[in-house]
This record gives sequence, C-alpha cells and structure tokens, in this order.
Amino acid sequence: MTYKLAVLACIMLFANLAFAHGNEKHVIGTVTKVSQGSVTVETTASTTVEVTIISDTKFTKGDSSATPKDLLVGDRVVIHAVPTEDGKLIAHTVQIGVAKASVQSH
Amino acid sequence: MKKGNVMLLVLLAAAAVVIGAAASLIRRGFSAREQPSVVESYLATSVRNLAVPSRAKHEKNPFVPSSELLAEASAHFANHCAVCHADDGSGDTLFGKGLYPKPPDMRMRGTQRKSDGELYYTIENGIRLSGMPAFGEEGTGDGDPDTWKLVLFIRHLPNLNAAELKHMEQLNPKTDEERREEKEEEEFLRGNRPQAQSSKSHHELGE
Repeated sequence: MTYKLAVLACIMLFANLAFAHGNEKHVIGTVTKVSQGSVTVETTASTTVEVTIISDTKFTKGDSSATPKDLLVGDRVVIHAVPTEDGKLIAHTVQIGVAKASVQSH
Repeated sequence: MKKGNVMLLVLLAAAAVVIGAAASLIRRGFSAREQPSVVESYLATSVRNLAVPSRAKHEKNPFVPSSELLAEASAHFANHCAVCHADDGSGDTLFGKGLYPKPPDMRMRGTQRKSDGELYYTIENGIRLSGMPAFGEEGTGDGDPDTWKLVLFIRHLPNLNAAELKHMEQLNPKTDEERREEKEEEEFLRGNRPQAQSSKSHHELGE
C-alpha cells in the first residue's frame, strides 16, 4: 500500500505542463524570400505568408530529402505548417518543387 | 525534540506536499497533450517490461530481411501503423501527438534495443492503458508471418530513405479529399499547375 501511494505521489509530483498542438495548414506557392529561420511565400491566391523554419522541419525535393540550403527564391513549395497561438506558422514539412516558378507580374 | 515528533513532522510535511500537488493537478485538469514525466515514463516502462513473458522475449524472427519483405512490410506499416507511429516511425502525427503516453520514436534505442520477440509480442498483444491495440488474432501464437515481417521493418526504420518514405505516403489511409489535395500539390510542385488558381482546399492558406 505504501509503495502504491509512493508511486502515485511520484506521478503527480513530476507531471509536466501541456504543449500546444494545432491543425496543419497547407501553404502552396512560390518562395519570395529566404531568411535565417523563416521563408516567405507568395501563395497561389496572391497572398504573402511567412513560415518559421525550425530544426525539426523536414525538407524534401522530388523523391529525395533536402536541406534548408536547397530552398531558393523562385522555388515552388508546398509547406505543411502548424499555427501557434500567437499567429505564427511553424513548418512541419517543406516540399520543394522540381520546377521553377515562372516570373509573375504584379 | 523527540525523534518520534520529528518523524511525524516530516510525514505531515510530505503529506501536505502530496495533497497540494494533487489539488493543483485536479484544479488544472489532465490533458493527453502532456508529456509523461521521466519518473512516470520509468515506472510505466518498468511495468510494461514485466508484462512481456520471458519466453516471448527470446523468440527469434523466422524471416531474414530482403527488399521484397521490407517492401511488403512497409506497405503494411503505412496502412495500419503510420496513423499513430508515422511512416518513419517517429510518432510525429496528429494522433501520435495526442496520445498519452505518446508513441515512442521507434528509430531510437528505446525500441531498437528490444528483442525481436518483445517487438512481436507488443504488436500482437498491444500495451494496456495506452493507445497501442493488440493486432494479433487469437490462436496465431508466435506464428503470424505479417507481424514478424513488421518486426523486420521496425529494424529497418533507422535506415529508411526518402524514396521509401515517399512510396509509403501513397499507401497511407486517406480520404478522397486528402488524395485530391495531395495530387494537386504534386502537380503544382512539378509545374503542371499555374501559380495563380481558384481551386483551394478548406485548410489551404491564401483563400
């Protein structure tokens, strides 16, 4: 009995705080800016979206894995990102297109 | 102060801490989004290890890895397991993140150091009080070939390459809507869709 109470006490004392998780958003468009820790995309609906890149963000190009260095202005991308409570988008996966985007007039 | 009184004070202080922690937890509520603490994980893992019979731990996989068997098992994994464990075994999925306890990163030592028999037993019998169901059918004993092939695939997870992952993604259970979105995204990446378009999914940004 004492052992069970000790186990229960340990579990309660060492329980941690929750972390947030939201629904993934898909950002589809063309890279207009690549910065340290973020990428800016002009979406297919002509809106501009900035997505944060973190160390866990996975990059692919075609059937191969890629790195943040493979991401260039003008690349077509599909980014699956998780929104945070403060309105940021954290990239979960970044798929880089094998085709370059054509030049658009604004 | 007498030794007995000191002991009583220590016990009362410990009880106060426990009651305070319990009250705090109850007021805050319990969420499956939380990460189990180190102590809780240790206790749960210890109990779980005891739950696998020693006979099962020493069972050997009757299959040896080959590209054909791994391809077959990866398709099985993508269809049945990836919804919680992810194709790469990381557990980084919507369902995986919401479970308590979370599925482990199966590429890491915690899973890879388990014996083939332990992995087989876990797939067949599940893990009580967790999200891991028992996939084995009664009467198959140690002889379900599909489960042994999954064990082969779990051993292969640390070496999974991008092409294998891409193939598995195509085999994941999806709704018609998800398949349509995926197809549109692939066409866009290949340059087969214009940059400006009107067709958007419900969770695509830029509408």
